[in-house]
Amino acid sequence: MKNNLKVERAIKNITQEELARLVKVSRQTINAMELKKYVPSTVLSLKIARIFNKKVEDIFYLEDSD
Amino acid sequence: MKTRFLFPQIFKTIGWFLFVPSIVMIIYFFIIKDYELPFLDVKVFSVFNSLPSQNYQWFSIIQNNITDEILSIFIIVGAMFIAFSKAKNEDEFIAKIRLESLLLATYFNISLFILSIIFLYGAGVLVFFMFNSFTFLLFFLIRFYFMLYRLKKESK
Repeated sequence: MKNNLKVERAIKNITQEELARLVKVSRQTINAMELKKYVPSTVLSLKIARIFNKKVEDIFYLEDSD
Repeated sequence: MKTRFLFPQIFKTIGWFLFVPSIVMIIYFFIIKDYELPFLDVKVFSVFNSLPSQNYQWFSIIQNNITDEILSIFIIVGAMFIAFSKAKNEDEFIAKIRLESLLLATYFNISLFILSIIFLYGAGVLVFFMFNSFTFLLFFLIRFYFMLYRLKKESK
């Protein structure tokens, strides 16, 4: 699964730390997601989408390998 | 995050206070000095007893020094508290790392177990089995905290 978290974060101008606090996870988790090392749960994806006022599909996409 | 089956965060501190002194004491008493605390020489209830000085006994009251028993329990309970207390910012990613570490620790333990079956004979097996219960938690702790440390470093 791919995501454009980093881009969304840049648009909203918030740091990993701030996003982490908003969705109540550690900063390492946000970092791992941006590096595609971690696929978030549905709950976390929905929470992140809500922070950016977007649909989940606008932030997270399937890859061919999924 | 809502978690099941994990101890509250404070138990990690309690765990360190149980684990470190006990492991220092057990190394000092049993490997360096061969000494037991005299006031811990008490009568205990034993389900099965095969101490070399006595015959095999089932369900009996025997005299025993419980220094090693107490320290062993402190070490294993301490290690368990350190291992299975909530992290400061417990979230789903940390939960995943914890479960992966548990799986790897199980594989590690099974490997050691198989090696011990193949290579150890006689009394060595028993000594190994005793230590094997600690190595599981120890390996888990090393792997889990190493991964957390690496993540922290990576995300700087």
